Amino acid sequence: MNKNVLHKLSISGLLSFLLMIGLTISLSSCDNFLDESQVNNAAAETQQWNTFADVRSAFMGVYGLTRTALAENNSHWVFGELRSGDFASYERKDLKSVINNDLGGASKLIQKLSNWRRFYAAINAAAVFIENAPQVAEKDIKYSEINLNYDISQVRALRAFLYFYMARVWGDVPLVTNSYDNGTFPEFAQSSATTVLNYAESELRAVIDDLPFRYGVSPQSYYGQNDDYWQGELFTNVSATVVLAHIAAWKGNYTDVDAYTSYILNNLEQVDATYTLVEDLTSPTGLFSVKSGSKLLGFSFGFENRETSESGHIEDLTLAYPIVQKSYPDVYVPMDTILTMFPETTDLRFGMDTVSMRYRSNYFYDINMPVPIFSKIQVVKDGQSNGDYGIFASALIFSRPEEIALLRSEALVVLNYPEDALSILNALRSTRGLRVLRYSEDLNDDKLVLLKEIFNERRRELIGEGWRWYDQVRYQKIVGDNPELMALIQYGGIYWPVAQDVLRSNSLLVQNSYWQN
Amino acid sequence: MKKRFHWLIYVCFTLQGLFISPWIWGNNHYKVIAQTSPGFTGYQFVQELDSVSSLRSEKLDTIVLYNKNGHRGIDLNRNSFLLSGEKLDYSTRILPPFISVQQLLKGNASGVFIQETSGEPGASQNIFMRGISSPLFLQKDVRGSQPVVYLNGIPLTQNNPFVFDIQQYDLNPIGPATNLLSTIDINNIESIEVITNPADLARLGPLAANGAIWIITKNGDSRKTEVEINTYVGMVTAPGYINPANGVYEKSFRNKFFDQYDITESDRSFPDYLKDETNPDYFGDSRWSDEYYRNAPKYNMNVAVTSGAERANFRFVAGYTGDAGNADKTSLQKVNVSLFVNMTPLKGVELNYMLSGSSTTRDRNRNFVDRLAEMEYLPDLSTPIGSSINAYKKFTDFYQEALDDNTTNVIRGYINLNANRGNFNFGTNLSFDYVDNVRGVFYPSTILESVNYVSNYSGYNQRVIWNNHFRYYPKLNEKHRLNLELTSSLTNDTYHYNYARAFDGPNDYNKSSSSGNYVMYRYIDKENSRLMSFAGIVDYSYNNIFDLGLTLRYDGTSEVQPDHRWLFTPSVGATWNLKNHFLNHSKTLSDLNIGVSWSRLTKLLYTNQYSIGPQYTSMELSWEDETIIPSYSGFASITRPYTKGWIGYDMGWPYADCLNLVLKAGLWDNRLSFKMSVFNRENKDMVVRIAVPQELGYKDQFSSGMQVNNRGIELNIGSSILSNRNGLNWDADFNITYVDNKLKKLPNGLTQLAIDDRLLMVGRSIDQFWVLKNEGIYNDASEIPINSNGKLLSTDGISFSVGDPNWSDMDGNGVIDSDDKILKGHSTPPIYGGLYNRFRYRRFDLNFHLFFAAGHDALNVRSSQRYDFMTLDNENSLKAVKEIFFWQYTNDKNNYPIYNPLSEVHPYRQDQDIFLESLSYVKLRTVSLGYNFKLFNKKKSDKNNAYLYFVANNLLTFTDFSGDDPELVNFNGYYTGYSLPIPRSFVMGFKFTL
Repeated sequence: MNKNVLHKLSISGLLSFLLMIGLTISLSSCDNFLDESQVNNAAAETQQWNTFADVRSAFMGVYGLTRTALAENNSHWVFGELRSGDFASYERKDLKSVINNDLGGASKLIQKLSNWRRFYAAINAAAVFIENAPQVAEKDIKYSEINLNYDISQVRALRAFLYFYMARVWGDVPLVTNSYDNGTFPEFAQSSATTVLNYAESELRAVIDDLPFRYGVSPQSYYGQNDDYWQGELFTNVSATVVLAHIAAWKGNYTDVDAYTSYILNNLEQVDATYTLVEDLTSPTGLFSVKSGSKLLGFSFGFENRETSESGHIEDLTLAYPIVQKSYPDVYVPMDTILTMFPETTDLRFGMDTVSMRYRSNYFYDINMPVPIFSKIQVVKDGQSNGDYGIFASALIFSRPEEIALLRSEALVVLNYPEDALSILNALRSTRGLRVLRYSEDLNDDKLVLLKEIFNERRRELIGEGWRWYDQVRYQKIVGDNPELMALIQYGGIYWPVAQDVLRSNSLLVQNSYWQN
Repeated sequence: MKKRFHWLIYVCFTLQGLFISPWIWGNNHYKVIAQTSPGFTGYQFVQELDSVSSLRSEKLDTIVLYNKNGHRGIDLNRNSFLLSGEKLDYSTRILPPFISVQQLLKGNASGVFIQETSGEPGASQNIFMRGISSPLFLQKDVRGSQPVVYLNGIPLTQNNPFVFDIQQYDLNPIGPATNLLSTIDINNIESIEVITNPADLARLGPLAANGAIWIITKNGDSRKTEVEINTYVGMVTAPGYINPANGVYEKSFRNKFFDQYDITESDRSFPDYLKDETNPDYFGDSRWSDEYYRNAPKYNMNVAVTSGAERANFRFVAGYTGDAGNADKTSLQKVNVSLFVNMTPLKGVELNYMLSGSSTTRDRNRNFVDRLAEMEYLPDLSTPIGSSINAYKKFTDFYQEALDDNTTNVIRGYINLNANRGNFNFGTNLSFDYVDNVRGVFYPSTILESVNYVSNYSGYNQRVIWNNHFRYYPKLNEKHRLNLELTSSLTNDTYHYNYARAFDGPNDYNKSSSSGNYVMYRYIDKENSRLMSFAGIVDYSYNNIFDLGLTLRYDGTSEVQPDHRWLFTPSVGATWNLKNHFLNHSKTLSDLNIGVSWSRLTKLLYTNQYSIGPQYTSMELSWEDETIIPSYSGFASITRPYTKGWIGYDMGWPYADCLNLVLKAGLWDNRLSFKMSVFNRENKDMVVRIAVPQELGYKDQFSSGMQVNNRGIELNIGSSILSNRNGLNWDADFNITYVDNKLKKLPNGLTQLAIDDRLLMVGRSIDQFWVLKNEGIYNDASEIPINSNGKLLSTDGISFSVGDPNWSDMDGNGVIDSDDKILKGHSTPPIYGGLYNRFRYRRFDLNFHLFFAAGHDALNVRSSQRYDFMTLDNENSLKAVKEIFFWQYTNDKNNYPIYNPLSEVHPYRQDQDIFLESLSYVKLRTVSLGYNFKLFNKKKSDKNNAYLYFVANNLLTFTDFSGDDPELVNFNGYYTGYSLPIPRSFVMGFKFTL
């Protein structure tokens, strides 16, 4: 073949190749080339707040962050259960100092717990949601006004709950109600605890009528699910009332407590809530593990959804071998305390079988061990399958009917209706294997003895659920027989210090007076 | 409008080739451009050649020519060392039995510091060129400061640290974590150049902003047909310094503290394993080291075939390499295959391609800490593994059931088309680099609290690059030479992984996540980033006296927000050959050059996360110490990035302004040569996390505006001390580098910024430790300061007492806290270098290589952990993990004070200067002896021969550091003692060419 021909053929082939390349390039602009990039695990502003699914994700985000705020570093239990509580630390110094009310030290745990950022993350997410969700209702017809209204109401209620929670822990905290979602980071000073509690109260009152008892009652559905799916998962009308009742109780406004608790107890059926049997309470597949309307306000860690975690559960602190592989629990209830707490042998939670003379220990695993394991709550994995892998799926239950009943009887005593209070207490006692108390014979017609009995019952019933510390504070506010605790109440020592990290990054904040050096 | 403008530029650049090409090919006279490699344009002047057939070999000569004579100012700074084609005889050159590029570089080039933080074969190693330009807090930060490595012009990908986003601990990345620079076939490397000169880096583009390593492989050669066989076998040896101990040692160590403070027996708290002295696991033999350490073989077999005819040539290489660590049964195996083809299908048209593949598998260590960090599960750590051989064997027996498969497969190549016509040259090049990382893990229930674990990782890095250049080099006259060039480049990077894991399956038989009824946790991530570049280059040379190079770049990246993503950067360099100008006839002075260059280099961010500005993420529902919780009530969530940090708008490219001065001189026909570089580099607009008020839920935000200065001096001295054709020859090369870094500016006018356990302070170095100043011990109550309120000195609310450490209260407020911490020491060495000696006598040659680093420090975390037993006994964290090698007599410094073990002030906290130690060291790295048989010495050629050699590696270390090895320090300067030793090895090799 003529060499030149070959030469030319190849050249033209080459030319067309290059031309093709040129055309390819000319079809797309440079900026488009650079725009087509994927960012890992993140969505731009323009990608969010367009569809039903975007709102749902953001909505669940607020719930999730609220759960995180309470669960991180076992906050809920260290705050509520350990401080001056019935648990003793086996070896952990940081927990010991919390138990001894010694929060001035700066162990890592105290530094982390006293940092309120995690609460504000949830609060900010709530504000972002409230400000942005309405635009989606306009963009996506799938997102209905009813749905929007439910969502906003819940998110506002969650935010109010978080503020109440923070006011219990820190007292005065900054009250931030807008998202400031634009890269500016203004500083906020603390508002008084009263202001914060009033805000929470007014928010809850504002939304309570928009919150239903159940979500997605057939033929309706809520985010594609029916009411049995959402039982104990979302903020209901009753949940909001629970928080209102507790705000009132914390403020000492027992008239309101009376009204709210009465409302709750009258509407238990509406949310499918009942008293829980002891075996159901302590079973790994019981109340703490399954969906139930009896969680008047709670946050789940569903195993089926891979939402289990190591920390964020009382089990992380209390369980040990043989339930999970850990030589000793971090905290335990010493035998003496157990015996003081449960003086009556018939108690189904912890008592003595009078026939066999053996302990009945639904709350504790093998009481004869030197370090008894508190096993009331023990949802390892899903609570059913074998394995002692220490991840837990137990829900964080803020309140259940028993808790509200006891709160109500507390209010009734304060409001001077001891007999009514006692009948509520007795109703609960009977489900726990305890005899009926008579006001005159057993309690000397003494309100204080009754009140003490009510708080003792709270101590027994709610151990491990994060109430002990707040109960003691409320009890002292009513009775005032413990000068040490009274002094703490008077000087703000019941509050936690604010983390150094938080103080450093906001010049308007001041350390809680009790913890100033 | 702007968009259209970019588009126009690109089309113009592409079409230029189209218009000009036919004109080039239409002519019968042609010239060939000498080009070092595809995609690398504008580096040197063209070389006129007569025949295309000698194309390939002439190219090499061209490289030599320019390196040696330094015609080009910007080439002046290129370090020619070790494997450089010009200086050393390939056929007799010993290739040290190393497996990674980093190991080859270590101590051999000025301006490059290599961190080999573990002796485990194939573990990642860090390269820092001319110091660190941004602070290193996390592994991610290390990735962002690595130079780019070019293999025949392909910029190799590195593993994307985005896997750390789903990891709780910043320890090892999930996946095989193989050092990608150990996948290269070391035996086929012809030269490695370290490019630090900013004018050179500007031509390489933003990928090279942290420096570049330029590797040229051996390639096809039309002049020869040869078969080359290179093989070595050898051993790594168990370390000699291990002195195993048992519980008696640990108990007596602890009793020392209790005795000092007269603590009664009942108050001496010992963990359970130290209580029972009859337990043979802890108080029996301590021969665990017999099992743990070992001598192990390393070997290599490499075959290369090169052949060529007039119009085409090729080289085919295949190799198998096995490397081993001396501890924990670690090893690496790799297979390399490469094919290089160079063709001249038409006159004036040159076509080259390379296809190179490798497969690397690794047996990784069995450290508990690595395993637990990967599992993100902390078991009860109160009882460590026993020190007896039985206890350890029990563990290794159980481990037999474990699975830890790590495979990294790489395939990379290029196709390169070059056309020449008259004074024009057009080239286009397509390169790709694909890395496939696969890891399968199974840990049986027997080794961890009856909880088994399975995980599967599969990920890839993919880079595709398309480069074009058009070059015009008018022939002016003998004295003036000019080169004009336009280039364009597109880079598309994709990183992806799939990760699945599960705990506590029903049995130990199903070892894969795809079987066995595991409850799986799944993770997927993908990041895609793109880079688009245009450059115009002008090179001018006058009479071999003056050289001038100018580069104008216009780069766009998807990593930067759309309104800032295009950046124009200029660069200019000039040299003046004083020798040619004034001293042309000097016999003594053979070379005297002076060069200066200034460049603005754009730096990549190595992540796309800033590009979209304010964003939402799905990763926020979990918390510290907790694995990812993706959802609430089974529904995926999306929130603002509260813990990750706020990312706002107005974040542009970071860039660096670099100034470089070079002086190069040679005496007596360059028998003594000398090169000195002085540089100053201002790294500007870098991104850093700064704290914000936490009441909006964020801890910090990413802010652009950090500025760091790097400056330093590099000195290279090359000498040929003795030179006799038949007698003794002695060459010596010495290099030393001094680098310094300083924080010049923080965003928002901040003067200091505390991030975790580090402090950045304007005016100070960015690699300093932030520690309390320890002044000893309070022996008497009267020594404890009392503040103005009459309170004793305290920390965290606890007053100091006798037996507590005396920490300086720097701010004098009577409280020891982070305000009293000072900046001290450096985690990266300000001074480092190496000395290479080569003796040749007839057919023998003897080489030895020393390298050193000085002026840096390490925080001895291992000592802190050992002394801090009272805290760690009760702490369930990774810090409390005791590995099997905990059971040894450690050569801690003996001057730590003995503090009261019952003290509440945490006396042995890690962040204090008693644990800070100087790391300066000198190491005798390599000694090698070779003998050249010259079997087929027909043509007096060096090419055909047989060569026998012995290499001993890692022989001696001189240091005051109390730890095992001053190199085994983490990137952040923390010495944990967890790293596997860098083994001493002895290798015998034989190289045969015919």
